[in-house]
Amino acid sequence: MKIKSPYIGLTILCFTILFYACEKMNNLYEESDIQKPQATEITLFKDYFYQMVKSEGRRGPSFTVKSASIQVNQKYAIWKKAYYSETKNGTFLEVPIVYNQRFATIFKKNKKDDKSINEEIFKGSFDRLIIYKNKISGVFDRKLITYIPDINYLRKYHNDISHNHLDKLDSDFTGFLEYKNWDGTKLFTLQKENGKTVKKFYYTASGNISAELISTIENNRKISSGLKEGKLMSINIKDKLTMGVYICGVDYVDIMGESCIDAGPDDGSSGGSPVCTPYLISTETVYTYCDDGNDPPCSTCDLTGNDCLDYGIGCPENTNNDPSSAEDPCARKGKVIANASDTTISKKNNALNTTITTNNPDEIEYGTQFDLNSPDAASSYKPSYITSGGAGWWESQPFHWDSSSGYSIGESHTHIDGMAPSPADVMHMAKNLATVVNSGVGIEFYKANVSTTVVTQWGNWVVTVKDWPAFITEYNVYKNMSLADYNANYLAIGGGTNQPPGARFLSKFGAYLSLYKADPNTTNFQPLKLGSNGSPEPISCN
Amino acid sequence: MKTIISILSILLIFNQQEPLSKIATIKAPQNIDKVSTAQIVAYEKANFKYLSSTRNLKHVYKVGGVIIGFEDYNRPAGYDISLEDYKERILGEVEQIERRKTKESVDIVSFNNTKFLIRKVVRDEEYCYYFVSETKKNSGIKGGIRFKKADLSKAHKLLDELLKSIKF
Repeated sequence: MKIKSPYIGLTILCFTILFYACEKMNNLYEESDIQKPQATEITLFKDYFYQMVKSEGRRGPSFTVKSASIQVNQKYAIWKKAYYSETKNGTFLEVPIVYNQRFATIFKKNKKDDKSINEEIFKGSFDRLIIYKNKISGVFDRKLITYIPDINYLRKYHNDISHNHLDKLDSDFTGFLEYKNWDGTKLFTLQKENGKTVKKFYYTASGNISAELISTIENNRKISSGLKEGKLMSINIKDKLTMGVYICGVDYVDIMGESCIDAGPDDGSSGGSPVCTPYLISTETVYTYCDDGNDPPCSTCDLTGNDCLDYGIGCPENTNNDPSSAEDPCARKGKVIANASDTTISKKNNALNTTITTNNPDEIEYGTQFDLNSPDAASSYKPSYITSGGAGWWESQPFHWDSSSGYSIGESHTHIDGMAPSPADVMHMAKNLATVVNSGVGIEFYKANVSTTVVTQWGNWVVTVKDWPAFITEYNVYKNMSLADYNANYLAIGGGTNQPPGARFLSKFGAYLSLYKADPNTTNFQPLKLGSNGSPEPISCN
Repeated sequence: MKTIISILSILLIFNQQEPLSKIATIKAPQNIDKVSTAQIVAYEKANFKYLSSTRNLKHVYKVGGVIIGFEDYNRPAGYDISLEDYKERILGEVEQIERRKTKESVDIVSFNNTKFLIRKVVRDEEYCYYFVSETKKNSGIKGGIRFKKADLSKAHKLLDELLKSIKF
């Protein structure tokens, strides 16, 4: 085709340049390409990295090296090869990491040693640091990930698979992704086949339940596993331990290492490709513990929002993180009213209300906990006590989930200023789930019935959980950042000025917690939503 | 004679001072003003914009511009206070704190193998600290101290001495 006007050609050329420039900014960036708004965002990621380095250092696990000149293992970031991207709930930076002493695990199905293949896989493996920022909470998190390719897949791409990124794996990516803490502590491994996760597992050198295994599982799930060290009854496939973890095979691994004399500093003098000498450190028989990822659901999505694809972790297909699975607050309304109308609960709430409305110039909060005799809907309540806050605010009472102390299905306390439940008031529901899960009793009952009530002279609030996976995800955010930071973020909702009671709550938690309110001295609880004017308003339940 | 002895015994019994705590030994502050509780209450009302629960404690004293007090508390069996959890709940009351326009901080300190939570509240240059001990055999000691900025160091010293004197 002949271009009639030079301007048309010039215009096409400009658009083409612009298109490729935008593509590049969105994905791969070079230092010189950093422009607003990404520049600000990337500065935040870098700040986070150097704060982490300042507090935790750069050291990694060391092994005996052949070169005497390498004394300690240090990690360095290659910023100029960093990759920036965005998921539904967050943004992340994937930064290549080089070491003085790097190592990787080569998984094998038998003891047979094939040195050349091992070395080939090892050379094709690499480490990346993922720094992730949650869009809603602003919270950062990070994990080290080692990409370990399958030999056939590696050869297909001429021994270089570095074009892969967590959110852009080749559709035929086959191999392993090993997730670790910054200090190198193993978290878990994902086995990938044709770009999809086929297995999530931990591995140890022992068929027994070792302290290392317990630590690995708990570190990953961020929840007490209840596992105790000891010998397994038997080593069978699908021999379920707890928390959805079971022995799923005996494998062999070669631990390959390499010493790199010219690693560092960040964006090192060797251009981020230090000269290294690989060698076999050890061959081990390992027991592989698979994680079905179901209990608690999508626990691996911690700190990443609801999107299980964040971090590239993926979730088992039977894990439902679809928001549509959240409970309808209207469907729960009758239960909330019935619960509040229960004689035991209404008496306590009325007594609590009296502590506000009678002379209480000192603004002391009072509260109580509701303990059932058994974890079922037909159970009566154990006697409960109203306690005051020893230091003004109410102190929560110890959570119980056993037959002697009772089953703490809810609590109620006063807010003299009339405000809705605070983040700390509701997070204990997620925290206590671990105790319930460990007991193995009434888990579904707890999830379906636990609630938090706040009594005020302007009416009472009740909170229930409508989407547990999302709530647990937020709890992990809460748990892993300082209370001061979490509170600051919470207060920033609505522009940092006083908000109508319940407005911040619904804005922050409305997707997975239901908030109900009743008029003073009544139990006519109505579920609330955030209205278009930014104030809570009743949901119309027909 | 017997009647006289009986009367003297009764007088002695009545004259015996009740211990400051039934569950621990504790030393009352030194150099206290010789004023009644009613006068302390009146002093707080006259000199502070915001009231505190300190004046209502069983043992309350005035030391110059500082009001300090304490009393025993009891908890049913199994209701021991976790000071760490309590700290989280206190600092978690973000919107209430915002609404009251107070500055709040919480410290957990340890004296004589007993942990104390100290909640420090500052509002319009008025200071109010609350303290509560960990629970020992279903009981503990709680208290408070009330003062203005000018008495900050004096109040800290008084509180420090009081907490250090508590032995369960």
